[in-house]
Amino acid sequence: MTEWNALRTGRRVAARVGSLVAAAVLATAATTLHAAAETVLRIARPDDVRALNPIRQANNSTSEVTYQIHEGLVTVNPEQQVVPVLATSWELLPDGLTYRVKLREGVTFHSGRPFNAEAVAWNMNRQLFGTPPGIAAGLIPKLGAVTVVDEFTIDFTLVKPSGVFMAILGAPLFMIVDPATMEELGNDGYDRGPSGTGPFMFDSWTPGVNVQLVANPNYWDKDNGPGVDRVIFEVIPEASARAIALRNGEVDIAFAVAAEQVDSFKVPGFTVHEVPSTRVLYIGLNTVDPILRDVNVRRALAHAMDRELIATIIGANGARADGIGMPSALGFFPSARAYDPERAKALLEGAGWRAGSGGIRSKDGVPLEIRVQTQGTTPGEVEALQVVQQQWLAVGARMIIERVEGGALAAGLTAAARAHTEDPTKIPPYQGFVLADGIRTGEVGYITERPKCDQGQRGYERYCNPDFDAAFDLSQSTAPIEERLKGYKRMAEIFEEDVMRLPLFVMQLNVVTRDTVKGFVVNPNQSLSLRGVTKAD
Amino acid sequence: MALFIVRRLFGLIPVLLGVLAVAFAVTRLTPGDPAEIMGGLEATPEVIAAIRIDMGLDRPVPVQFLIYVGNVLQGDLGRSFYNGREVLGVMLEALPRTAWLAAVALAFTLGLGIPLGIVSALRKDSWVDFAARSFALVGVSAPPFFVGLLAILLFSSYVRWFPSYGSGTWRHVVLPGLALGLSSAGLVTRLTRSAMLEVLNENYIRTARAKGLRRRTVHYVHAFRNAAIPIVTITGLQLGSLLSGAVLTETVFAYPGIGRLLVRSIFERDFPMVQGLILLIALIYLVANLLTDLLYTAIDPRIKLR
Repeated sequence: MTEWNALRTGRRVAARVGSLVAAAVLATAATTLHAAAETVLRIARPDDVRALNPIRQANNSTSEVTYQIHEGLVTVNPEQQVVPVLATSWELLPDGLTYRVKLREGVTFHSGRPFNAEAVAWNMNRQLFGTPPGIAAGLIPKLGAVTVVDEFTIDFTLVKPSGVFMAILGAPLFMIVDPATMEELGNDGYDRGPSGTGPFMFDSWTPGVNVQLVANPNYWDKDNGPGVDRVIFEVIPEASARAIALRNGEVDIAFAVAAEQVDSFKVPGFTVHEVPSTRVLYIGLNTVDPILRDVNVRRALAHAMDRELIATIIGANGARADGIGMPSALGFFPSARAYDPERAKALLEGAGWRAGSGGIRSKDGVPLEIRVQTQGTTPGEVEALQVVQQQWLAVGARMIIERVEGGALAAGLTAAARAHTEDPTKIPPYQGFVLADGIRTGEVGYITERPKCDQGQRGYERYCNPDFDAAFDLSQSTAPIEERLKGYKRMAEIFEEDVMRLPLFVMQLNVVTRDTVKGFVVNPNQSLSLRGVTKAD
Repeated sequence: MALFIVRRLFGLIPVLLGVLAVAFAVTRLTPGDPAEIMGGLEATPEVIAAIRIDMGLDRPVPVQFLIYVGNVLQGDLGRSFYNGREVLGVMLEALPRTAWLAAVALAFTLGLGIPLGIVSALRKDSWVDFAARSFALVGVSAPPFFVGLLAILLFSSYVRWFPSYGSGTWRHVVLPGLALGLSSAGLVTRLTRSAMLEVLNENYIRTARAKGLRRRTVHYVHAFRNAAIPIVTITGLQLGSLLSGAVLTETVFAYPGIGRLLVRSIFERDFPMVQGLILLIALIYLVANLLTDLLYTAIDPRIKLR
């Protein structure tokens, strides 16, 4: 009897184990089938997101991800045109100050709550008056009022007229978050469950490892929605490691592919996207420096630079810069001086700089030496500076390249510029500095603002010219586009005449995709849209 | 022994307070404003000022330090300037990954280094010795990031046994562990060989042989035990170094450990994170030293802990 019981118990155990094993096998099979059915797009990038809260962070590596979850009222497309997203239309009312924006109906946040004018007003208030203010606060022109007209209409009343207000909202800085989710989770907790209206919904974030998003089944744009089930943004800091992962098929897209590796991907199976960005690397000049305050010296230094040769030397790191900005941006006019070393020499002679020992010119015993501070971290930056160093030497000017850590460079420039703003007798000790400026609004206006008289500690060139300011104001006004372009043209002329900045090169975006990825387009302004991107098996 | 451990643990407190003060001072002396970095060049001075107040950077530095020490004593290391997350939480996410990597690297180090060193000493001037010494030379000379890239090419690209990047499974940790361990293994091989050669010439080894003890007993019980002291010393130091993060190896393998976190935090002027990590690294070294001292007594009973 006991043996019989034992046998029965044994059979029961065996049956249970058997059923558990069967269940496990079925579950594994189901998972495998599910996994096989799921299309996963893996993107390798050098940096992680800083936060998933777009009000708090909007640097490029962050907004590339948060812009898949959230959307703005408008965006700047790869052709650098401002196009509607959550707005459907907008108009400037007769008062010349109020933009009336019609919003898209039938859109819901990932939380299921409706998107409406109240949500937009909440976002604008949070950006401008939150503690601390949002990351877009510094860019958005001063607003007198934000008025909800009806559920899908909102008025933005500016303090001063601005023709670029909507373009500024197109930068991936002003994204609409779900107010209720933000209130519920708080500024910090929002990272655990961001909710926007975008084509992808948040799934997980393992800091330093990856961010995973899943397709939003309720996305409003059925024609241009998510084309894959899951997107994984992998963090792979090292360029070689990203290239290897792409080659191995571990990822589908690799961002920031090193210039020297770009050519190796120009083979079947891969598509190389070499796109000049909207960022220009330049040497800024301190126009109140004892040597550089002479405009002829600045002009000579500009004429001594062969930007074509720079572009050749730096290869896939960049393209030739013809001015401040890029040709596809609204308001771009060439402003860089032509390469003409003889003219450079003549200008220096005319300014009293005579050839001295070692080929370096001097004046009143002072050698023509220009110290240029640089971080040297942008690919191609140091090589470009070395080319310019040789070219300046050929006309009798010595460039001393000073490598400075990024934080120290910005802090040093800001402190010296602030001191000079407060007390004009305190001449900033720096001469040249290498910085990059980028356009995210489709117009060059935003990056031409710095040399204005009112820039204070941000006006590192220490340049002030009421004519330039007037041209800038015209370019940003609500006047017809032809008039605004006159303002942009005049600014370019002044850049060429007064040479506050020497463009080095247009930074290039090098992205490689596997041929299985379709519909992927690189936007020169570095805002990433994965709408409509698909992946074949 | 227990009294020794308690005394040493109490001795850690002033050292850690000193580390805290130095870390705080160094981060504040470094040029660069975290609020500027966070706001970016687009931010207006007003926005920067608001961010500075939000970060608590508007207060005098001594006040910031006192607040910081008070918070640390309550277990609050602050929030990251970089992403607003709790410093302790971020460190506790990265530490197990680094510990896992360190364990694998140490396994390679000891598993390869000690046997090779012993064999090399016992077969002095033979081809085995030559091969072991060559391995040690290569291990010591080749930087881990270079070994890492070669390992990726071989094991990820050609034979495809292991992933080339990431973390999460045991397969992710093999290649970075190998890259790190190989370098330390070379050092341990050389050290073991020289220590063994020295011990093998001692009188007590001759006596042990004269007593007719088996070769294996002489070599592994009498000789190796006495040669182990320098190996334990170097292993303790290596453990501290491995646990405090291997920046280049972690970068090559996109392995999100302590080393990468520290470098990123320094570049971003993430003061609370840098301070927290310096504190953690100091603690790791202190504990590794304590463990080394304890191991000495286990190996050599003549060593007394006071």
